[in-house]
Amino acid sequence: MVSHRMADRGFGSRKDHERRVKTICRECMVGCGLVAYLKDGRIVDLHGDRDRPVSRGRLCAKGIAFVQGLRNPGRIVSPGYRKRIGEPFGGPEEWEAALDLCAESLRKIRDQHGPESIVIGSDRDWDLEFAVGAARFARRLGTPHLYLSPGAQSAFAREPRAVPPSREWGKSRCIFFIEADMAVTHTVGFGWALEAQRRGAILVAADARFTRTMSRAHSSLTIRPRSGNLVGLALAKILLEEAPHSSYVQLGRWADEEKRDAFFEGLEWQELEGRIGLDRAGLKKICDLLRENSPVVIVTGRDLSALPHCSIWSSLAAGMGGAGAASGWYPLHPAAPPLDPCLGMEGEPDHPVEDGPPLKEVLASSKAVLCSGNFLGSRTPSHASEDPLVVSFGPFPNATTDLSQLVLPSTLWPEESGLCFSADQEILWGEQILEKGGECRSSLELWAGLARRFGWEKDFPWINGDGAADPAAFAQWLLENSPGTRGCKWEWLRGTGGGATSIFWPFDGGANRLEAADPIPIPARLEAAAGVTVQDDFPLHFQKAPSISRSEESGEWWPGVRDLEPEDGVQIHPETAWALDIETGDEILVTGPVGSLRGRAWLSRMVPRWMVSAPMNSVGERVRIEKPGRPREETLNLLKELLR
Amino acid sequence: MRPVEQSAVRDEFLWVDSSRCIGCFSCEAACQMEHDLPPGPRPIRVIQVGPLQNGDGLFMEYQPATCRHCTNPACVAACPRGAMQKKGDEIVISDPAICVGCQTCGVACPFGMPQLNPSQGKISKCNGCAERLAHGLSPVCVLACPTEALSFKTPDSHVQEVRGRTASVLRRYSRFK
Repeated sequence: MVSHRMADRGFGSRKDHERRVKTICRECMVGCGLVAYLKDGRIVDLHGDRDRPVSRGRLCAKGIAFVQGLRNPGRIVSPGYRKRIGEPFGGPEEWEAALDLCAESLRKIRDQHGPESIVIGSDRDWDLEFAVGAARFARRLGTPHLYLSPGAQSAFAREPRAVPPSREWGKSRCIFFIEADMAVTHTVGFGWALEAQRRGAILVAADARFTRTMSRAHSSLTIRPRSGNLVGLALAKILLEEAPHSSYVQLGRWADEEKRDAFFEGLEWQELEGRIGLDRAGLKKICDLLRENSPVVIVTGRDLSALPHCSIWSSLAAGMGGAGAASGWYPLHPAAPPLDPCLGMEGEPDHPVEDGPPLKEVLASSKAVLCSGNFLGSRTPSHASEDPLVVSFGPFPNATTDLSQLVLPSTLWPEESGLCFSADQEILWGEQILEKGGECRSSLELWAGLARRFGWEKDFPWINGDGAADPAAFAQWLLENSPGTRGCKWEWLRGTGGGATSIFWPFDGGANRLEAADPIPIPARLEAAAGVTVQDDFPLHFQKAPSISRSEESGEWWPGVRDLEPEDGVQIHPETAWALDIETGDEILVTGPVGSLRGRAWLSRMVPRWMVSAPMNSVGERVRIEKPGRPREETLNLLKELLR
Repeated sequence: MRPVEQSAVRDEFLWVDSSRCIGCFSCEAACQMEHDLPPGPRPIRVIQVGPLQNGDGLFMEYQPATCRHCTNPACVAACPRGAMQKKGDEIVISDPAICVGCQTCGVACPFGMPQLNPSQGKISKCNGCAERLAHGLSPVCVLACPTEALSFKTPDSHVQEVRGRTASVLRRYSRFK
C-alpha cells in the first residue's frame, strides 16, 4: 500500500500567546491570509492562513518581516515641528495640537496667497483612504494641484473589468509578464504562475533588468525600460499585418477600425524597434508564442498603467480567448474598483494634472505642500523659492521628512482595520492586528481631523456622529458608490479575513448590472518619447528599482534584509563598469538632466549594458555615470564607444 | 501491503526543488520568526547563483541550503564538547546547555550550516522543527514557501505527485495531437 501521508501544512502556535487574529496581509495585495498571535499587545508569532484559497497557508518574507518595522526605534511616533529645515524638531507632541497647527497654517496661507498655492500629493499608490480624502479636501479647499501616484489615479479611472484570478492560471497555457517582476512584488501570487508552469504552461517575460521572474521563464527578452506598452503596440501591428482574421484582431475592443488601421500603418517599425530595443523578428517570435499557446494571461507591471497606450493590453486580451477565466489582462497595479473620489460634492471635476504645468514648476511657486509617502523625494530634489510649508504624513523618516517643517506620524496597516482589494480583484476586509501606538493616526483620521477644523465634515462620509473616522463607514461608502462593487455589503466582508469566502468585483451578485465598457479610442499617433533628447550627454538608461513594501521604506528598517540590497547600490553591467575602470564598491556619481546622486557601484549582469539601476530617487530617464577623478569627456567617449 | 513499522525514524524528508525557488527568502524569514532568532544566523539560506551568461541569455538560479542532517555528520565529529549530536530520529542538533559557541562545527561542515547566534553566544542550526513535527505539523520553512520549492513528504507521496502531474500534462496535450 502506498503511503500518501503528507504532513499538515500547519496551524497553531506553540508560543505563549493571549489571542489570535485572522486577517489579510496588506503588504503587496495578493491578499494572503495571515494569522497573528499576540501577547501583551505584541506580535509573538505569525504564519499564513491555510483557509485562504489564494495563499493556502503560504506567506512571503514581506508578510513575516513587517513585524520588525512596527517597533523599530527609527519609526516616527509623535508629531514634530520646526520653523526651518535643518533645525531640530520640537513640539507639539500631541496629534490634535499638531493638526490644529496644520489647519491654522493652511488657512493662513490660503487667505494670504489663495488656494492654488497649496499642493496636495502622495506617492503611495495603495493608500486609497489617503487618496480619496486628499481629493475631497483639495476640492473643498479649491486647489487644482492634487498629485496622486499613477497607481491611485489609474485606480480611479479603471474600468469595471474582470481579471483572470491567479488561482485559475493553472488552466492557461501561457503567462506573459511584461515589465512585471511578480516573483518579487506579488510573491505568493507568482506561485500560481509556477503551478501553471508545472501543468505545462510556458512563462514568457520581458523586462529591462534581469529579474527573478525572468529567471523562471521559458522565454525572456530584454527591452528598454518603460517601453512595455510599445511592445503591445508592436504585437498588435504584427497581428494586423500577418493575421488580420485572427481572434486577436477581430475581438479587440477597437472603437473605430479605420482609425485603428491608420494608426498602425503610421507606426514606423524603425521607431518602434529603436524605442523597444528589439527587432521585428524577435517580437514576431513572441507573437507566435502567444498565438500558439492560448489561453494566455498577460501580466503587466505597475508602472505601465500610468504610461500611454496601456489600453492596448485590453484589446489584445479581449482576443486571447480560451477556457473562460484562464485568460485575459492582469495588471499588477492596485486593484481598487473604479470610483469618483469626489462623488456627491459640488464643483467642477478638476482638470487632469497632465494638462497643467509640470509638477516641478508648480512646487517652485507653491506656498504649502501637504503630502504622504516620499512625495518630494521621488518627484523633485529641491524647491526654487523660499521654503514653502511642507507637511508630511508617514511612518518612517525619508527624503521628504528631511524637507518638512511639520511631520505627522501615520499608522502602518497592521494597526488599522481597512478595506482592501487584492490583485485578483477580491474585495477584502483586513482586520486590525494590534493597537496603534504613540500619536500615530490613520489616513482617514488625518482627513477627518482637518475636515472638522475647516467645518467640512459633511463632505467626508466616514466621519461618524462623534466626529471620529470610521473605517467601516468608509468601506460602506466606497462599496455603495463604485459601479464595480455596488450591491456588496460591508458585513459580508467580515469573513474574508478568516475563511474561504471570496467576493470579487465586478460584483454582480446584486441587481447591479454593469454597462459593457466602452471600446477604447485609438490615438492619432504614437506618443512622443518622454525624457531628454540630448542623449549624447546621457547615454545610459536608468531604471529605479521599485519599492515592494506597503510599509514604505520600512524595508530599510527590516534588519534582516538590509544587507541584501544596499540602498545606495547602483547596478552596472560588468562590461560597462570595466570600460570605465569601475569595480564593485567604488564611489560613483549618477547624473541626469534633473540632478545627480552619489552611490556605490555594484557590478551585476542583471542590468543590460546600456542601463543602470538603483533604488534611489530618479534623476532622469537617461543618465551618465562618472567616477570621481576622471574627466567627464573621457567617460562619455568611452561609454559611447561601448554602446555603439 | 507493507506492514507499518514502529520506528523513531520518520519517512518524510525535506524535498528541495531549486527549479521552483524564486529567491523570495520566505523560508529564511519564517525560520527566524519561529525560532526567535536575531538578524544574522539563518538556519535555512537561499543562495543566488548567477546571473551567468548562457549564450545570448542569462541564467539565474536560487539554491535553498539548509542542514542535511548527514548520516556521518562532520559537525558532530568536530564538536569538542559533545554539544552537537545526532539523535535517534536522525536529526542533528546542538545542545545549548553544552555549546560554547566555538564554531568548530561551522568550519567542519562542508556546507557551512552552523552559524553563531550573536545574542546567545551559541550555535544556531536547523533543528528539523522537532517541536512542530511532534504536533504533526510540517517544518515552518515548508509552510511558508510560496512555490513548493520546499516540501515535506514521503518518497511515495512524491512519486504519486510526479505521476499525477505528468499524467495531467500528457492528457492535456494529447488533445492537440
